[in-house]
Amino acid sequence: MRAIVTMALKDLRLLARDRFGLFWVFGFPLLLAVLFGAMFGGEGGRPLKALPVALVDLDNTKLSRELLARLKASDALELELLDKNAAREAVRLGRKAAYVAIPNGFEMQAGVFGNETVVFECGIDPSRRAEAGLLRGVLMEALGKLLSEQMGDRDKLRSAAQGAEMGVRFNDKLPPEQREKIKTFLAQLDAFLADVDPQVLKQGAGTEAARLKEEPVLRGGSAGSSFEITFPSGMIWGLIGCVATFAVSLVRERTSRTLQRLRFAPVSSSQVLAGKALACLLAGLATLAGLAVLGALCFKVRVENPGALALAFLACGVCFAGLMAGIGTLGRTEQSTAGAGWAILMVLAMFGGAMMPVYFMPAWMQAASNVSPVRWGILALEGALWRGFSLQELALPLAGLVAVGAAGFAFGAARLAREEP
Amino acid sequence: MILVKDLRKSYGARAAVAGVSFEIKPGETFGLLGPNGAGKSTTIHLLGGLLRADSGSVAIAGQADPSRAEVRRRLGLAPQAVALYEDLSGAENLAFFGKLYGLGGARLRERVTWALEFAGLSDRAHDRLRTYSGGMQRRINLACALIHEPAAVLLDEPTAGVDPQSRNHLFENIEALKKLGLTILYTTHYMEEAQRLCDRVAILDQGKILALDTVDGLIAKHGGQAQVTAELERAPADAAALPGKLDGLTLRFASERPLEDVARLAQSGLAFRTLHVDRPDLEQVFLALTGRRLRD
Ligand SMILES: Nc1ncnc2c1ncn2[C@@H]1O[C@H](COP(=O)(O)OP(=O)(O)OP(=O)(O)O)[C@@H](O)[C@H]1O
Ligand SMILES: [Mg+2]
Repeated sequence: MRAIVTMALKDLRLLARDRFGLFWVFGFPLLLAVLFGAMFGGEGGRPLKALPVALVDLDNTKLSRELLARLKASDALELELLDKNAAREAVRLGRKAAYVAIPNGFEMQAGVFGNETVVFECGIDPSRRAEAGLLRGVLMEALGKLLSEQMGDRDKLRSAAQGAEMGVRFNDKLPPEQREKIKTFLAQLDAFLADVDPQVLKQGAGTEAARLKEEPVLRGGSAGSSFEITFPSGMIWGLIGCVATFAVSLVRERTSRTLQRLRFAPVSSSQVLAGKALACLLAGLATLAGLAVLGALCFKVRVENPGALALAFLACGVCFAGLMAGIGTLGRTEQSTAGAGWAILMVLAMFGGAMMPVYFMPAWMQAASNVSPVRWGILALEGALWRGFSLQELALPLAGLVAVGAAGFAFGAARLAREEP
Repeated sequence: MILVKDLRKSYGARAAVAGVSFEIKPGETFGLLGPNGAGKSTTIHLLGGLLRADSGSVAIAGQADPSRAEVRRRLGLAPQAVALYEDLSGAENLAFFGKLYGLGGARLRERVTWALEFAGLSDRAHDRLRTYSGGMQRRINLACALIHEPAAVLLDEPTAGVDPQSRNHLFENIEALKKLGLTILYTTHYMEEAQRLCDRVAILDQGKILALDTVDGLIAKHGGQAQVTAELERAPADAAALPGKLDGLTLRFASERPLEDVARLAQSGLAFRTLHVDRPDLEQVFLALTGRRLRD
């Protein structure tokens, strides 16, 4: 044990003298956490930059202009009115995320008694398909409001009813008795509208059909800053930096022949590996603690349960130290190990949701992410930071993390023991 | 102290060590002299338990199997390449390896101070190794093998690639170790080093020991005769009575006892202007044994 601690302290001293290495372990993850945090929008304000959309008005009627005005009012979109060719071109060149064309005949179709579904042509930049949902939502909301307002406007409704009556009267396709029924209904409606108090009508129809009231689901109550969503990813990146750094330093023991000297010293190969893993664990814990303190002091990251957080840190640290031990024995040169290490870690990070949120992923990737230790790590960290996990709820991700760490270490120890230094 | 019997190690079809046997007595400095690829480093690694032998046996101070930690504790190893941490200082490297051998406290400090003095690096103790010159690095590499006071050290080409000044420093170091009574296994491909430092020398080529004896013994057995080259003051009266070949005023002859022969010639009235005696050395021994020169 003494030999292991001696070797670990030596590695930490070496790390402390390698400024560039230090950056990857401490600076880079903080930068990422802050960057991601800023990306997802400071302190709970409107997150994303308004979506740049080109609007094409092929209808050019009162109703289409009203829709336009409503869309313009939405701060989720940044609208520009263009003709159709210019709009397509702007999307193709990446200047707009999408264009929407209000079709010719919109007013007719969308009117109160319109009998066709309105089809908006919408061209989307393929790289921004994820944002199409937002566009659809904003468009439908504006359209819904517009139509329901029309329902509340007595004059509009009357003229629409009269227009419809004309339409029915000359529609030969309708069977005569149906035609009569509709005509009677429209006449009654017109009489009702002529009679009704416009104010009452407005109240009756002008209400929204439904509305979402958003509220973060947290045990403790209100949401904190968006940094607390991104700091767990930052923490994982800190650990990934540690893994890459120490995996390379393990290979360097071989290439600089100090491994030979250690083995002669006499230190067994699994002790050498344990020393390296301990150094990785300690550096990782320091990174995590540093990020937590900084997050709490400067970025309003709440630490709901310090005890659970310490456990989560320990489990994450053990997991990544074990991964380091496995990765560090894969290659025989610094380059091959650094390459293989980053490749493996990137894949883990990607599947685990440290690069992009899991909900952005296609279904098969989401399924795969359930077995990524990065995912468990983020879950455990979030659980301790703000999800308010109980120890029972934490147990599963923690056990998974420790198991992965143990497996990585066993793999590395077996590989190192098999070869002659 | 070190007993090696019929040691063998192959890498694929190539035999790096092909049946090596020798015994090093306590306090002896034993040389392994051989060209590149002769199997010197492989032998050392087998002795130190860093490689597993295909067959044969190694015993250190009567204990078999040097892959066991307790056996290895009595050995020190200075590898052929400087194998230390470049970003630690000399003192830190020494202290680190000392701790791995279980040293601590005052004892460790004492040993580190001794080792730094031994390497002549006390004034550079706290500089990082990467700022040391090549010769300094080799000296600390040697000192590091001694930090735990081993009874025997394995020195793998300790002078490889160093300038003459550092080489002399290292020679003095090794002579000091001899005086301390350490058992030393010294590998080199410089015959001058073997000749100067080693009590006995084994000549190793292609994994086999071709000859093993004291330097004098090897030269006497395999070195052949000394070459004498003399320039004469004047042409001799009786050229036919002279040994060897006379070419103008230059006389060349081979002799078992060159100094006695020269004295006899001088007594017979021959006057020398210059005189040059080439005693056979290990180079000739190697040439006689292998038909090749040590370094081509
Ligand atoms: N790891 C290895 N894999 C394959 N062959 C090896 C290995 N190590 C050594 N050899 C071979 O074994 C032979 C002996 O090598 P060794 O390093 O013992 O030579 P050496 O006498 O120390 O040479 P040098 O003076 O160049 O250091 C060489 O032919 C070498 O190519
Ligand atoms: Mg060698």
